[in-house]
Amino acid sequence: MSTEDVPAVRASGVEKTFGSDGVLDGVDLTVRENEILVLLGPNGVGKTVLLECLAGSAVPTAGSVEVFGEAVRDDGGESLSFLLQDTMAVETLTGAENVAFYERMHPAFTDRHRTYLEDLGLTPDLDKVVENYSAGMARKLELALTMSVDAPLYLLDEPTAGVDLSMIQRFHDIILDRYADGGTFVVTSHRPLDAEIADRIAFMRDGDVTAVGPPSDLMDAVPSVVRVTGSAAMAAAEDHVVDERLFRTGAEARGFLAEGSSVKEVRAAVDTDEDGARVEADDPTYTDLFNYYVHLRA
Amino acid sequence: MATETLTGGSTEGVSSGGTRIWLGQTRSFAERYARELFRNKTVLFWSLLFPVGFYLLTITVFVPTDQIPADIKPMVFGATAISYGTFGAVIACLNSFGGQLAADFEADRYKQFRALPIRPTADLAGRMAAGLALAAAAFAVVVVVSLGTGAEYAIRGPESLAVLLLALLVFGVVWMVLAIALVSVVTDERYASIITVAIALLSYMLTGYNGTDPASYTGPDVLLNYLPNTLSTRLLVYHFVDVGADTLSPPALPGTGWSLAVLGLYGVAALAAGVVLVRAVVYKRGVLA
Repeated sequence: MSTEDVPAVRASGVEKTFGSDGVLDGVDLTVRENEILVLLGPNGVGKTVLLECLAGSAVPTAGSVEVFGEAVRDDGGESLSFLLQDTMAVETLTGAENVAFYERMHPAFTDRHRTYLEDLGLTPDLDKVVENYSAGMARKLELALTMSVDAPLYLLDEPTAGVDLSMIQRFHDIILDRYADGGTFVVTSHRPLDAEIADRIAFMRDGDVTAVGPPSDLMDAVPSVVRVTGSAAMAAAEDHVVDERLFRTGAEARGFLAEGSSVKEVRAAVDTDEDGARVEADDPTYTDLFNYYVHLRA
Repeated sequence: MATETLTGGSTEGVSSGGTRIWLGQTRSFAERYARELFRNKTVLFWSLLFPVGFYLLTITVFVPTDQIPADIKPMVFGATAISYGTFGAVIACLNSFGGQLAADFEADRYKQFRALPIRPTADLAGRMAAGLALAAAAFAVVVVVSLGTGAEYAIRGPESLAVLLLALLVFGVVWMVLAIALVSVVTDERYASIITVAIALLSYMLTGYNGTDPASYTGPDVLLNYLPNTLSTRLLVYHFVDVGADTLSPPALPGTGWSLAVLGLYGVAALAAGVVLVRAVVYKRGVLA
C-alpha cells in the first residue's frame, strides 16, 4: 500500500460495550487525509464514544482503530488533537491558567490560541475562573486550546454545542483555517448547521454509521421535500410522506414525498380553504438531510 | 498564521527533548494541582484548620496539663503537635489529594488526558509535588500554632533536617499512593471523601495517635516501629522534641539509620506501586510500554 492510500483514520469493526450495554455495534469508518468528516446523529447514539475510540482515550471492546496507518494506542496522541466536550477546560482554573496548563501537555502546542481567543472574543475573560463561564465561553476556550495544537488530525466532540448561532461561523472559520493548512477533521454534532463545512457526512443511529458520503450525494438520495403549513393541512399531508411523518419547524412542517406521491396530490388532499393552509415543494436543507437519514431511513 | 510559535516543546528524537517535555508536564501538573488544592476552602479546612483545632482541643481538654510537671509540658505539647501535624499531612495526602483525583475521574478528565501525549509519571510527580506541598503546610501550621501554646522543639543533631524531609516525603508518598488505589476503585468524589477521612481518623486512633502514645495502642508493640505513619511520626518526635527514645516506648525507637532505611524501602515500594497504578489504571496503558 502506498502512503497515499493510508487514510488519516481507519476504524474497523469497532464495538464498545459497558457491562451488558452495547454502545457501538461494529462501526467501520475511514477518513481521508485533509478531509472534514462531520458525524451527525441525535444524542445518545454513540458519537462521543466512537470519537473516544478514534482518539485512543477509550479502548474498543472489539475491532481496531488506526491513525495514519498506526494503531492509535501506539501513536500515543502525538498525531492528533482531541476536544472532548465539557471535560477539557478545568473549571477551578482561570482561562489563562488553563492555557498555561495545556500548552505543555502536547509538544506540538503553538501560540495560535492568542489569535483564536481574540477572534472569539474571549481574551477579556481569560482571568475569570472557568466555572463562571457560560457553556459557549467554555466551548470557545476548549476550541482554542485544541486548535492550537499543530496536529495533522483533529477530533472534535460537539464543538458548537451551547454556542450561539452568531458565533458558529467563527468556529467554522477556525476549523477551516486548519483545514486549509492540511488538517484532517472528524467533527461530531447534532446540529445540522455543522454539516456546512463537511467534505463528507456520516450519519449515526443505534451505535452504527448508517450512511456516509459527500453532502451532494446524500442530498441527491433524499426524496422530494414538501413544506406544509396549517394544522389540518399537516394532518392530511401525513398520508403522502415517507413513514407518514412530518417534521415540525415552528409554524410549518416538512416531510419527504412518499414514492408515487407528488406535491399536486398532496395539495388535492388538503383543504386549501383552511386559513393559512399551504403546500409547497422545497429544496432539501441540511436539517432535512439529518431528519431523513437519522429518523427515517432504516 | 505565519507568526505561530511552538510552545509545547518538541519530541524530535533526542532524549533531552523527552526529558524537557517530562519536566514541563510535571511542572504544569504541579502548578495546576497546587492551585486547585490551595484555593479549595474545603481542602484548607480539613487539611489545615481541622488538625489545628484538634490539637488545641486536645491540649485544653484531653491532656491533664495540671498533672504534668511544668518543665515537661512544653515537650508534651511539642510531641502532641507533631502527632497532629502528621495527622494533618495524612488528611492532605489521603483526603484532599484523593478527592482531587476523584473529581478528575468524575469530570471524565482522564478521557481527555488519555488522548494526549502525556507522560503518566509526569502527572504522578506533579500531583505528588502539590500534595506534598499541602502536607508540609498542614504539618507546619500545627507546629507553628503549637509554639503559641508553649510547645518547645529542639534539633537532635545535624541529620535531623534530612530526617524531617525524608520522613515527610515517604509518609506523604505512601498515603498518596493509597489514595490513588482507593480512588481507582471508588471514583465517586463524595464516597471517596468519606472513606478517606474515615481511614485517616481510624489509622490515627488505632495506632496510638500515629505512634506518639504507645500506651493507647493495643496492637503488637513492634509494629509501631514498622508502620509507615507511626515510624515517621516517632522519628520526628525523637529528632525535634527533647525527649529520650524510651519516652516513646515500648517499643524503643530503633536507630535513625535503620529507621531511615525502612522508610526508604517504603518510599521506593510506594512509588513503584504509584507508577503502576497511574500507568495501568488511570491512563490504561501498559505498565512499561
